[in-house]
Amino acid sequence: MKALKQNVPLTALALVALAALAVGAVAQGGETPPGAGVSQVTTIEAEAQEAMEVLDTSRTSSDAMPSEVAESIDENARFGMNPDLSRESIDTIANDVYVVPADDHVCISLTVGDGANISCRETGDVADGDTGAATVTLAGGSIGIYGIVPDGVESVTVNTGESDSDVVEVEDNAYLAVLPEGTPLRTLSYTGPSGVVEFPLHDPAVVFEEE
Amino acid sequence: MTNARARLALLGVLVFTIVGASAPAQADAFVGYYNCVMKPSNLWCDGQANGSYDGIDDWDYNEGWYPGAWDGTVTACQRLYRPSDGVTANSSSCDLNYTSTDYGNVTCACWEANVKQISGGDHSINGAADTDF
Repeated sequence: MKALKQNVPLTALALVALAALAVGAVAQGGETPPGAGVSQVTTIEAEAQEAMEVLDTSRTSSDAMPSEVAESIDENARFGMNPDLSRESIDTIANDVYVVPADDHVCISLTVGDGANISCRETGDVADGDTGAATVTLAGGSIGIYGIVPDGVESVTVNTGESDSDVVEVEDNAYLAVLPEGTPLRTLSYTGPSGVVEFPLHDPAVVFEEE
Repeated sequence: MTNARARLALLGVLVFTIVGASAPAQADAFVGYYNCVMKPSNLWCDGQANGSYDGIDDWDYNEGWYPGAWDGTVTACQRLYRPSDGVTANSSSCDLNYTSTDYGNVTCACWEANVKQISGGDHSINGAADTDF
């Protein structure tokens, strides 16, 4: 103790460092990403198949996600999503939409370049028709708006500007709208099993500029 | 304990703490976690404003999520931002509660990973970025 007292500056520095490490450890412990560590599903859950016909169809080679994206998901599967069970709902020249089964969740992925944006919804919310859309900045600045809906929803409405709206057809339980850069976004709405639902839309590019 | 031994022990504690705190989670895949507690709406966390800062790296994955109840009131947004020229990478995104992007092949160690929440009020927002997703 006497030796420690004789080294007050060093002792204080060590205690401060230890305290900082402890605080950091506590903070990281609370920062686990949602769905991390969940085992990859090996089958599509029945509730998801009942809600989405696209998941109740046989998988073909065209349903496979780009291999690099699939490998990345395999190594870091959130919510237990399994790209080996994916279904391709929308195929365009630049961007494709995949539905990816997960554990108590259904995930969706929009390819962008050689990567992909990924979102996940609780299966019950998908079945209830109570899920919103993801917005993504695409090449050239256009805005991608995409999501999934249950069987029976044939279209969604993207509300833009002050009063404009675009009706977007649903393909295999998914929709994708690509709007020009700078289009003011308001909401996405549709009528599902739970009635009319409406969700806010935010243009990521505008979000950047607003700070 | 002699004075010399005490100094040595304290130095050991200091070096262990500093090295331990700064070492990446894995040698070849640095994962940066960051959180902002009760952040005002529409204010970037990490590298911007008062968030914690993971630095500039070749992040190829970034995700943001709302750590509170997913009741549809909070939108999470994420982006990769290059401070040197103000460019934002394609595939920045927003979604209710949770959003993530695998940025594919990223070769430039020049990106900041940011997240923010949009809700109209103060909420916490968390994020994680990976250099080898």
